[in-house]
Amino acid sequence: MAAGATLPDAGWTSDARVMPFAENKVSIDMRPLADADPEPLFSDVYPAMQALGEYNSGLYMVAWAADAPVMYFNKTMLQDAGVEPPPPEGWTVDEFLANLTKVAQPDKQIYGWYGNEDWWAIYVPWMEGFGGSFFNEDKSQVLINSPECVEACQKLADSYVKYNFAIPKGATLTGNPFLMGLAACFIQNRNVCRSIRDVNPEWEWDVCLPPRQPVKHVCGSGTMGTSVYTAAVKNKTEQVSWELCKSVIMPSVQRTLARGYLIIPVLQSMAQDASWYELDPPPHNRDVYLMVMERAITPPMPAGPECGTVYMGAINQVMADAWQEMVVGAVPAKKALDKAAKRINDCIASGGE
Amino acid sequence: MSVSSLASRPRLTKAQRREEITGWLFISPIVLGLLLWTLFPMIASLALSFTDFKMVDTPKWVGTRNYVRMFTRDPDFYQALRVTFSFVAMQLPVGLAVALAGALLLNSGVQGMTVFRTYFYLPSVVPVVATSLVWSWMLNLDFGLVNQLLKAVGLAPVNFFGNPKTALPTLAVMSWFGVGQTMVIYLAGLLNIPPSLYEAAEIDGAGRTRKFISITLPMLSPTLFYTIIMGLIRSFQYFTQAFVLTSGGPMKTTYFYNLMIYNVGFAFLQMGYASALAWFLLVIILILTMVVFRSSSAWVYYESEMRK
Repeated sequence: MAAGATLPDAGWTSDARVMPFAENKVSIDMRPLADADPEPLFSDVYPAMQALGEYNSGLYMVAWAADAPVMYFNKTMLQDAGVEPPPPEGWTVDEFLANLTKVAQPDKQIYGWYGNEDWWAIYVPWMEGFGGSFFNEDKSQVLINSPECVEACQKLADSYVKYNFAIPKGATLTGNPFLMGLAACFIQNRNVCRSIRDVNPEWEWDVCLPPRQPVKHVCGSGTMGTSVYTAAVKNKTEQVSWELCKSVIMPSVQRTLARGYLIIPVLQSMAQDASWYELDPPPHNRDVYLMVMERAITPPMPAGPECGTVYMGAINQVMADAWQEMVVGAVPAKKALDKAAKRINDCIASGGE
Repeated sequence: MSVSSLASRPRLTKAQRREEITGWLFISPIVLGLLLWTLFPMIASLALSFTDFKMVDTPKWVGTRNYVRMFTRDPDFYQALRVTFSFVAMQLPVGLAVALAGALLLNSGVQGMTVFRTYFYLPSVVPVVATSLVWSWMLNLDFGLVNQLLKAVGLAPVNFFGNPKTALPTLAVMSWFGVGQTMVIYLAGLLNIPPSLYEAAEIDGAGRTRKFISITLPMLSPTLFYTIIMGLIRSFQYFTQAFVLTSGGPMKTTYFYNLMIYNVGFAFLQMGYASALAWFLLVIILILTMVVFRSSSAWVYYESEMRK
């Protein structure tokens, strides 16, 4: 629609699109509208979620949910393998690797983890949790091949190449193996609850925090939200478009969305609001969805949009290729990440090529 | 038409002129469509190939930078070419041979030929995405039919789409099962060969192989020529199955050239560079088609011509 100049005045977006839309003037900076708003709603939004909608001090998205991935686990599968289910604060990385190795019996289609390690919300927290960093301070270079990042990624890749408990890539082309009862663990957002409820499995399950890294416990994040597009300026509807956008964080709207298992409310004052807190499932560890917010980081963003981000574009593609090499080709993380770092740094240096 | 015949072309009568105008009117929709939706976009994409165009802003002229980048700074370019050429080498000769073998079998006087002909043609009319998903189920590592059969005979299951060594050959083998359309074309060609040629050959003592080499192949050569050209063009544009099943993985072993164009244009939003890549693909296909055309005088036999 942006390419065809048929944008609406306002609409849905995701944090993946905040930077490219801002840079390409598809969405407008809503900061002046938010600052002029008499309702102080934004002071109640989780800072990590607020930050996902911000770019270069501007506000380009109103986040609609406190969305950070947690680890869903199949309690029945763990207990059948003689493994104690994880506590709400999750396993350590070493416990994660050891316990799921005990669970996996690939010849019987029993796996420990349905991995989505090439999602930034999994591997970037591991890098930071091991003491590493994706970018350097001025974002002119990536540091993904530092010893800390290499150690983190190698441990993650070992779930495929050393311990063999992650479902091999290409083995599941349809369906979610966790929902099918083939994998004991899966890291994803809140909306999986709805899918599990729809499937209504016979096995018991619950949630916990993703694995605790050795230096600090870090988790990913990500959310959808609303934006005012540049068409609103042309149509002189900025104010009414802003009213529409901010309505997603009104308590009444948040309650409606929460009741549908779609979101955890983005307002801190609704942390234990009955609209989601009394929903069943998950069975016990509801507070995990709040605990994860204390540890959530925002995706690392480059200085400019030329090479894309961890969500899309060249950076995303290079990291996806690196993960393929590590988990499918069994290439050591050091070699794969050295190559990836060179490609990304060359792209940044050449302004996007 | 010679110059002298042009000069001496008689003036059209009123009725002839009216007929000519009517003819043009009848073909005008297709001509307009060709201009609007084929030629104009082609010219636009050629122009865009010399620009930096991110779709949401105006194109910026960069000259030949996209073409230089293609050859000197994009490792995926050579990988995509390698994958595509490998696929064409695996898929085209065997695919055509399978189609010809099927047509020969159907032409051997088997009962129920019309039923078999429909049966073999059906996969061609089923949407490619649907057949791809069916293949993904059949080849699934854990519960796919093929791996169940392998396990039943004591062999280890194969991760067809997840193993870098097997992913591309798997796609090539899958495509061999979609040769129904080519088979029907060959069958029509075989049915057009006069039986008298075979009868005469039999009288001269020709065996099966001699008849195939000296009668069937030469008489079928125009049809073979057509299917080779079309098969070449189609193979180089292979996209859907890779997009649905592998997304170019694992480790870019199924990263077809067309898939790369799609990624560059719609995932990376570099439409200028994607246009340059598309024009390079056109050049490759043109060159290979011309090579086949040039070679055709040596092996394509038209009944109406006399061999020198």
